[in-house]
Amino acid sequence: MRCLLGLDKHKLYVVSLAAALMVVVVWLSLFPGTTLDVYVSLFAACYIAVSALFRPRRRGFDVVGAALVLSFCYIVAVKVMEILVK
Amino acid sequence: MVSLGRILDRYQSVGLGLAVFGAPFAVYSFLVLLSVPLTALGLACVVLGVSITMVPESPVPSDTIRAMVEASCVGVEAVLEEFNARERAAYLPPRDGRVVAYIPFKAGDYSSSWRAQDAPLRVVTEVGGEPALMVFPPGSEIVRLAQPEREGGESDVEGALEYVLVDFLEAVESVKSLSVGERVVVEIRKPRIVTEFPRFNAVLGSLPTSVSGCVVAHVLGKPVRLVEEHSIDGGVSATFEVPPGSG
Repeated sequence: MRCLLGLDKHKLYVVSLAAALMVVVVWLSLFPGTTLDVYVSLFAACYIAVSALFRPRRRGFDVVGAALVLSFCYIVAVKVMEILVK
Repeated sequence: MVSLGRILDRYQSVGLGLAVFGAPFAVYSFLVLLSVPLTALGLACVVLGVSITMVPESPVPSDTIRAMVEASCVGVEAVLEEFNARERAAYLPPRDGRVVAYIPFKAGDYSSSWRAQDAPLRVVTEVGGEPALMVFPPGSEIVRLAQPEREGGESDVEGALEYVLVDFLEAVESVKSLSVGERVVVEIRKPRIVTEFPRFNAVLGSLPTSVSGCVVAHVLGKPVRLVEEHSIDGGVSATFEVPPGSG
């Protein structure tokens, strides 16, 4: 895992995360009707997947991960409420 | 390096720059440009920027650390041979930031391990009139560099072991620990560092076990004595003992 392409684990994590987010933005932008919550949901999925794969060390609490997971939970809750109300 | 009251390293500078760009760009794209893809791009910049900011400064490559650790075993082995140390070591909680291994010369002298914390820090020291050896095992420097958290006490032992052995040193594939009364059992799976120093292995345990002992002593803040170590399927199981009445 580490020293792939001559990069250490943390640099590889940053590059992979950037690539994953870019792919998500580019791919979803091809579909005109895509709403922001779909982007956020996929950002959350990518972030969690890349973090689980590389397990980078961090300074302090994983604020980004927490924010993305909470956002994802909020989006799911809103969608469920919409379905229930209908 | 950018200075904002304190010096920011490269990661923090780049991450901060991305986040500072991404946040207003996302807001502007959402409110003014009314463009969802550009808003998402701004949010992605914020996510990436903050993630980069949280990555610590480039650590010493783990290959280098492993090589240094193995090399330091040579010196410790020589000292143990010179003083004919045979008894199992006790790992004392950090003094001046470093864990020390205490090895009594007298066979079966276990109780002195619990009183060794205040013994003079010398190669040959004395506790209760009985001479003993003190060495800095390789794990003491690793724990000093890795600085695993120690606020949680026993509940944080496994987390600290995982952090030091798996994430920091990348010396083992996985590690688990279990506290049973006055004993802490550490199970190490697929160790990647194997040293052939017989005296070192007999007194301090194998290298991953020795590092585990240092971590446990650091986290618990108590002396921990290596009781036994044996091979298990795909790894090693080591048992440490904490002072009676404190488990």
